[in-house]
Amino acid sequence: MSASTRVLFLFRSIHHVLAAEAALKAAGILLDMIPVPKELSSTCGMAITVDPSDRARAVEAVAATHPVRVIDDWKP
Amino acid sequence: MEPLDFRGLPCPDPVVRTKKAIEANPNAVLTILTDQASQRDNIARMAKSLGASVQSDPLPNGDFRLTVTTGVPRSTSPTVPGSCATVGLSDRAGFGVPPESRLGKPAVAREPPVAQPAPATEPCAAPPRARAAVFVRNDVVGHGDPQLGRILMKAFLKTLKNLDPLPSTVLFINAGVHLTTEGSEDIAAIAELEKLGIEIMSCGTCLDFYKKLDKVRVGIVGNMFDIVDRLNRAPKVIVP
Repeated sequence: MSASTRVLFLFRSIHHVLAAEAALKAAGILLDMIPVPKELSSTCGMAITVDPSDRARAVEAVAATHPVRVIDDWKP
Repeated sequence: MEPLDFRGLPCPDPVVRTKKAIEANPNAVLTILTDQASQRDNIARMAKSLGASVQSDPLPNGDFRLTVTTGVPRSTSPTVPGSCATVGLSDRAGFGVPPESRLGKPAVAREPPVAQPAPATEPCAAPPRARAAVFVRNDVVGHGDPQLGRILMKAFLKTLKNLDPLPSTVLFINAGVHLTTEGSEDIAAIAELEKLGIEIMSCGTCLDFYKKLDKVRVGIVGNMFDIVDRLNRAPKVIVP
């Protein structure tokens, strides 16, 4: 995982992170929850990453949680 | 010397008694009998950490015989006058845990090796920064909402790898062992710490209680002596 890029989602609140995690799991999408990288800013301390191959499905799954930012090609 | 028969003794008595025997018998060969594989492993790990060599042989009745060859006691180990590095300092930084005890994987330390004794004529190098022990007593961080506590633990474990210096050991006790065992979402993050040379240890009694002795997926199993020993040696303990 560390060698490849990921799609990273930033959220406004930890409640949105939890809702997004539940939605992604319900959709069968593998995710990784990480502390928000230091170089990025967010009001919430946690972020979610998924494999780029799951991007479209993940965006749809978390739409209701209104991620504040989606970053493609993020390198862990 | 008569064999030390530790069969039937509860954990961690055999380890404690072996430690005393090693310290009391430098340059000797000790024969130890035990009837549990976990105690065999714990005794061997502790003996190696004291500089002894260990040979383990299974006996026909299912017991184990350990042949422990002790070395020179630490207090009389050769040191160079005027040098700042000592066996004790080196051991404090790394706990003297042999890499081979870590599930057979050689440890790769991120920090440079601890300074060796320098010639007496050279000035002392700066001492290495001592490394902390991390004591994980639960599978969540803090008291309050368990969902939030779970997320905070994820963040905590994934942040540890960024510390400088890295901690020397992460000890999982009570419900903390849920993090190192089958079903945990944090095994990859903990395995990453192990790859950095950090010792990962789960409490054997706790694994037994939760019926997870055969479900450990990262790190080694230790007893209370191992855990207290590491806490005692660490210059500081981080508790999430």
